[in-house]
Amino acid sequence: MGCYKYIKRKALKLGIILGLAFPLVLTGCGDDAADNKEKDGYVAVICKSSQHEFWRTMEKGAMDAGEELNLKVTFEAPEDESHLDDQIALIEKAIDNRADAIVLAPLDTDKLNDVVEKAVDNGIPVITLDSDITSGKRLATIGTNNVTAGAIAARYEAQLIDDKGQVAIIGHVEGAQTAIERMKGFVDEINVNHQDIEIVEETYTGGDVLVAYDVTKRILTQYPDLKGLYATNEGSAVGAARAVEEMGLSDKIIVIGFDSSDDEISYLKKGVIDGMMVQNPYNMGYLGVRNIYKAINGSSIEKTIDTGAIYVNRDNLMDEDIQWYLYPLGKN
Amino acid sequence: MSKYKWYKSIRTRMLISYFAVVLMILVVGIGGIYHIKRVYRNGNRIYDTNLKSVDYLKTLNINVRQIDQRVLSMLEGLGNMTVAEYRAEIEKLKDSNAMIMEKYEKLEFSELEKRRYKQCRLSMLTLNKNIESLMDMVEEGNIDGAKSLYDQELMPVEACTFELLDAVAELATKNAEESNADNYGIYQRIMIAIIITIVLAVLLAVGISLRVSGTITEKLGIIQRWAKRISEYNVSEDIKELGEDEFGVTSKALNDSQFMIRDLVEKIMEESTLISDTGKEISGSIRKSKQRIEEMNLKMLESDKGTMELVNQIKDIMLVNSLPPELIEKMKALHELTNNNSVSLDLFQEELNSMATYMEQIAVTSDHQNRMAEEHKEQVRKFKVNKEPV
Repeated sequence: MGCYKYIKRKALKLGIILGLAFPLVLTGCGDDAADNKEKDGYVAVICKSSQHEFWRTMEKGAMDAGEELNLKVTFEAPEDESHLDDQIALIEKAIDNRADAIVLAPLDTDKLNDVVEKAVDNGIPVITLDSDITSGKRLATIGTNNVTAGAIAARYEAQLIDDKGQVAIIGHVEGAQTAIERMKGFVDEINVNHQDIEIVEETYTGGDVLVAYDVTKRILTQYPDLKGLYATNEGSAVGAARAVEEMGLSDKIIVIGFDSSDDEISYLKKGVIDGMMVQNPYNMGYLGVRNIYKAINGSSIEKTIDTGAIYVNRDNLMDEDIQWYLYPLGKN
Repeated sequence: MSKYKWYKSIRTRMLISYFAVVLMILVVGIGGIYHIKRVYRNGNRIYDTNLKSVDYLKTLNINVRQIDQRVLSMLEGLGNMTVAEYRAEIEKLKDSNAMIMEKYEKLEFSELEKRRYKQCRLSMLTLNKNIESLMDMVEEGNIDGAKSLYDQELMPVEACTFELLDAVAELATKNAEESNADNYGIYQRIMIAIIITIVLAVLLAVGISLRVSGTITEKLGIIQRWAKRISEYNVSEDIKELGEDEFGVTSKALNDSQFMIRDLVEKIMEESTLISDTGKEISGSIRKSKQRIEEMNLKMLESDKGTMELVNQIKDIMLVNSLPPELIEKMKALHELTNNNSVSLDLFQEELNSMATYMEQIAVTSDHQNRMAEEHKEQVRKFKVNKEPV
């Protein structure tokens, strides 16, 4: 065989080898290990409900943090905010499942103390979200400063009704710390700085839209001179707005709500709701998981973290910052 | 008959082989340069986005902490500064933060980092509002209210801001690490490619060298064996076909030379034989002629002796006084003629002797030539010009 033929044959072989080897070498091999690696911990996030967008947004924040920190995060909640026993059962379940930590949005300030303390005694640290409990064993609380948010809502309500007239408060869950604080902030601000305004009724709806609708209709009928309504959560605000719209009182009644569901934004755009205090549930979920992760890894964490609340009305609705507050997950 | 073809020459093959090696190195080199450029671009990207952003976030963090320190000092009445001076400093730090945030927002970063930053920005805006409210309270002289606001509202929002700043910075750092890991991956691939190329190039070069040197050695061996045969007077076998390269051309030239030698040997043989035969023939003929000349010479010598006797007799006759003068005169003429004849005979004899000597020399020369031709034949006979029957 001639040298030429030999080289030709070898060159062909070499070409095949290089053709096969180079893409492999230059592109590298995929690493599937990353997809299957074990998680660094298990955090049970237990909320008040999964009915409202508020909680779904919080869930997304918690899940994102879990993904960033390589944690297994479970998100569970009772059917609605009135099922305290279900929430206790979920905490018990997390203890039984040997969760590394619990992030809890408590339905009650006192009634969850025992089960939370049981968790802590079992070596499971607990952080509360959105509202707090009275037990000192929880590590930290993360949420909105509801008293401040209530006071801000009161200032806007007063401004919109020209600082005088009757207003009613449509609270959500009786006994819930968020309801208590949001109402307290509102009431204190009115009583101290807006004394020509009369709070004619403070009532609770359990956060249910239909109940809020009925209660609002009753109040509007009972107080024909009523000038303003303050609803302390999403369900209450939507129920109240629906009643005001149906009764054709959108121009007469100033409605200040809480939170920011699509229904609320729609009522805001229609002029039924005049303003709302928007919280940051995404940050609550995100920072809740992030801080409990720091805690289980031995880092110190702040006892109280305020994720902030912002007043949104038709004037600032389209501002970029407000849009980020309203749609932390992006618009659908 | 071999014909030289440039594309089949060893030089061309060597050049093609080395060109292949160079091409391989070139391909890897270009690939390497491309990937090195990627590493460079990644490095720039890490700096422009991740590291710059981490730097900005760090500065924001420091600024917020400085604002907090100023607020606390203001509330506690520490230092010699007035509230207005504190406010001016805090405003300055807030402006600095706003500027940094503006710069930061111009950077290109991942959607996730963007989202985290937006959350952080909102928290900072809330914090700014709280600081404004607090400073208003201080200016109004409501220090207790301001302290309460600090504890109840400002600190928790600050905590949130710090957490989110940390989260964004961690994300930016993680992105930087991922980009760096990507760079490391590229570096590893370049190294592997270079090592593989070097190994392949070395193997290829060694293979080519072995093959080419093998070919050269094999063909040189054939020529060497041919040369050995030549040294042993064997010009009967041609060099076998060595292709169409330089060796092929050389072998053809050597075979042509060998053919010429063979032809020359045959001619020398023929001519030496002819010379030898001619020499023998000349030598024989000359010697025969010489013998005849010597015989003639002997006869001439005898004849000369007779002539000399005749001259003496004529001389004796002339010494007789009784002879008439006419006769004496005639005897004198006869004596002179005979004497001259004798001299001529002597001369002729000398010439014949000389001729015989020359002829002897010619014969000797012919003998020598004959011997030389025989010797040449002997030498040429050593050459093997025909293949032995197999």
